[in-house]
Amino acid sequence: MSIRNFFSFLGNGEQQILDRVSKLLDNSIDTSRHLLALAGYLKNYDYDAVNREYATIADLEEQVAQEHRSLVRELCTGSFFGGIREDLLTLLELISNISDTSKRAARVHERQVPKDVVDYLFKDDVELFISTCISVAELLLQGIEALGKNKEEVLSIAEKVEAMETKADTMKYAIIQHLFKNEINAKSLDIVMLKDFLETADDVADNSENGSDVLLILVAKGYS
Amino acid sequence: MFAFVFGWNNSGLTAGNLSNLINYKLALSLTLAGVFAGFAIAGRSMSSSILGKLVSSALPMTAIFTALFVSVLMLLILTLLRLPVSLSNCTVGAFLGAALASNTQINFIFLLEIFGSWIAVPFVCALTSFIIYVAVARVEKSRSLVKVVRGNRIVLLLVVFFVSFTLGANNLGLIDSFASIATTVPLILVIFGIAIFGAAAVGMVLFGKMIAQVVGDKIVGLSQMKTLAAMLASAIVTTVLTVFSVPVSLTQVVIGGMLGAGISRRPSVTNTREIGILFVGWALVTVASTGLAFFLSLVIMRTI
Repeated sequence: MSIRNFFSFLGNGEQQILDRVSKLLDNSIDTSRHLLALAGYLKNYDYDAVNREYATIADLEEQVAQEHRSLVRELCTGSFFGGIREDLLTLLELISNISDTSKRAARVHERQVPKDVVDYLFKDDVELFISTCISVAELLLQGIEALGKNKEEVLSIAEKVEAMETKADTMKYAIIQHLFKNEINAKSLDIVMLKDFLETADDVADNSENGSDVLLILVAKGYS
Repeated sequence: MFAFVFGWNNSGLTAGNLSNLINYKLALSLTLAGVFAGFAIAGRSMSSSILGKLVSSALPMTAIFTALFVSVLMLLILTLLRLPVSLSNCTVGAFLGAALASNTQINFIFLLEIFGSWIAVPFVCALTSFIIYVAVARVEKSRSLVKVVRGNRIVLLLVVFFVSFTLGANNLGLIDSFASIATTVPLILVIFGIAIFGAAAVGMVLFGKMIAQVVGDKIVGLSQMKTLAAMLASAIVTTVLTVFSVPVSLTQVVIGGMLGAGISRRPSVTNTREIGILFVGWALVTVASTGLAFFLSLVIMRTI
């Protein structure tokens, strides 16, 4: 082992891992941002742009998956973080799921929904809902960065994540409730597909909230 | 042989506790380095703790070899059973039995000191560990998780080296003290010393990992901070006992420290069944070593 590796082992290994976890989450959030853009194009019936955004999301998701595998391998074979390594692996899985759910939600592009149904969906502020889901993930990112500061900040951010996720849930239920009223007598398949789109998009917030639960476990174990 | 079995049995006490923070090979390397340093620098402090201090140095040669044979045998059997057993328990018991059989003078006051230390030391170490844990927790609560982990790792590395140092000084020094029975030639004593360390090292490298798993996984579930407190307390207590030439059971010290740290905050995870087996085992080992050495010494003396 070289001298540099020795001191790296003593000191910076954990910080480097955390930096990579933050980068992974940032890339995952990027897929969700493209999902928001896709929703915008869908609202304007620009299906070519919707397809392009889907392709971008798919590429980003693949990059996230590769980095996730690389990080998992490094965590499993190294000696980082002692007894909380398994919790970090859980966190990585949840971060990877954020990009995965964004890609699944973006599959709404596979069925060209009639314009009147699209208009009906976007009567509610779907873009604000997706934006709120992204905000939950961004708060999780702040929480991960706070692990490099102090535990009080991590705890505070975890509470904010939970509150924001609840807000996203409330918005989702309101949109779905309106969708199920089906005042335009759209095909049931279209309504169900759009409902799935909303539920899957909400998984971005759910996975982020689960990620903040893991942060609480890291704090509980790391400072015990 | 004695040193080999000692190394096999005892490396888990230090390498087992590090297995979550650094990989086992590095933990083992650190343990070996510490044991060597302790043995080389401070091994002489135990030179007459058994022969001379506990039993008279007039103990017949047959009795000495019987005691050594019984010590190795007991250590080997219990190591094969994957129990972290004390070299001191085996050795003190065996020499006591051999001395009783050969009507050799025994320093009962020193014997009481040893027994007293064996009983008191786990509790003293548990209390010390508890105090250290409270202090460490207070210092680390305002630090980032990364700094906490980094700090724990660095301190733990130093502490494990320190514990290994005292292990080498106290236990290997004890084994080395028996070499002076055979010879007083300095060069031969040095060769004996190298052979003793080499044998202990081989035992640690080849077979220590299974003991590490017993200590690290089966007995107490400890966080990094608690491990740090337990090991630091163990190092302090063992050093004090080594200074007074008391053959210390590092097993008892470390496990006492781990228990003290383990119960310092609820909820705690402790395998009480395994602990019960260990405590009863320590007492039985001493009695069994005494009885076996007594019996064998009588048989050999009557045969010769």
